[in-house]
Amino acid sequence: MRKMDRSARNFRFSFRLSPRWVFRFLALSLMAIVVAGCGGTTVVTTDEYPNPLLDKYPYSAGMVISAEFASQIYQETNKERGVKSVDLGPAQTAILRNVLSAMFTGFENYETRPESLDVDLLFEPRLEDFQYALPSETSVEVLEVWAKYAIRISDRSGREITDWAVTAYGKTDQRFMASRGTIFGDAVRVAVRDLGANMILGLPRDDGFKSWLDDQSKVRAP
Amino acid sequence: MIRAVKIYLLMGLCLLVVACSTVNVEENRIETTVLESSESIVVLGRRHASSYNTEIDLVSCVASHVGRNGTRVIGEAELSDRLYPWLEPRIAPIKIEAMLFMMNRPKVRESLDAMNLRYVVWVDGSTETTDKSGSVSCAIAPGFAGCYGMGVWTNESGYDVSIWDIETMREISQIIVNAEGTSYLPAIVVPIPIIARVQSSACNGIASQVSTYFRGETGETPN
Repeated sequence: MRKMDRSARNFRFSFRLSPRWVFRFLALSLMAIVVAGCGGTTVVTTDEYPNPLLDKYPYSAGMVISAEFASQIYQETNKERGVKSVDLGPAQTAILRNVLSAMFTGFENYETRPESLDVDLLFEPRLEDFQYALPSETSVEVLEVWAKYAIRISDRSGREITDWAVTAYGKTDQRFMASRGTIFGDAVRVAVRDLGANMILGLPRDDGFKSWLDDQSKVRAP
Repeated sequence: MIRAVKIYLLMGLCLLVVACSTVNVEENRIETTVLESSESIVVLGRRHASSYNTEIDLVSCVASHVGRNGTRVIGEAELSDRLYPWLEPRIAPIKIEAMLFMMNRPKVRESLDAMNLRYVVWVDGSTETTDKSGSVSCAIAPGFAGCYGMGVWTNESGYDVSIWDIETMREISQIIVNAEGTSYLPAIVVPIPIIARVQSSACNGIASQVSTYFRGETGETPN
């Protein structure tokens, strides 16, 4: 019985919160931070974006989203930047789908370019460039993201109307206790929203699209 | 055991120590108004500048402080989603005339009417670290970890607030809020952060002035 009492006392003693335990805890915490800092960030983006508030063109459109575009991942080759990869596919697919379906009365999705089209316009987007700047690399305290897209637009007969270059830009401020992955994800989200906004603003200004619209109105005019 | 508790209490007390920050609020009240209970407001951050970003945290802090006294405040993210893409940084109206152009779109007008949105509070600015000095070094060894040194940094906030009445299409008030504070990080084995909550002070300054504006009162500078 006495033996058991002593062992119980020893057990309590071993869990006393002494300054040594505090130091050990701090050491372990610091080590954990160092280890986490070496790991690199994988940025995963959301695929939930709002539907634009727009008046529709009275034409139907289709979009070719290849499997590569839908699952596109930017891989960072420079290990010193602390970012492993940025998952762009779901976000860019979602915003293009939302924007085009809000701009045109009919909308179709294709995985590959169809041989015969039953829509007025076909959009084939591709990502041409993706860049980012971390706050430690610039003089400003924001994380910036740039992306450049090219969107080939063809008419019903398959004739290319335009190969339109669209850019996307997003930035976010550093927030207290927010991880780099979260901040980066937010910057990508802002950039993807900007892609949508730029498409909505830029498409009516594109010469090829404007000329196609003029042709359509001539055909429709009595 | 008692000694350990004392250490913890001391560490806890140290964390509660906050450095001072000063706030200066100036208002140019163009028109006086009192918010009706059915009307709502929104607090939006300006994000078009290349060198800074009006912080999301600051905007949500102002919105939540203004909403504490029963004012109906629509969230920034909610309005940006409902009016997408018209409030995106690339398109968002910089001047009230551009807001009129945006609201001439029937779908936008319909959406704003559904929310009973009357006033837009634009916040433009940021909080930045303007001065840094000192250094803190930390070391880890088996059975020991500790830091030594002293870090000092100064944060400065500068925010321009503009209140728009979207029913009369007029800018009705301009508020300028500047805040400054110096934070200290002395470290003798354990780092003790004594942080000046500059952004939070700026948030309180903006929110109290906006709240007093919508109550039709004259504001006082909070500290």
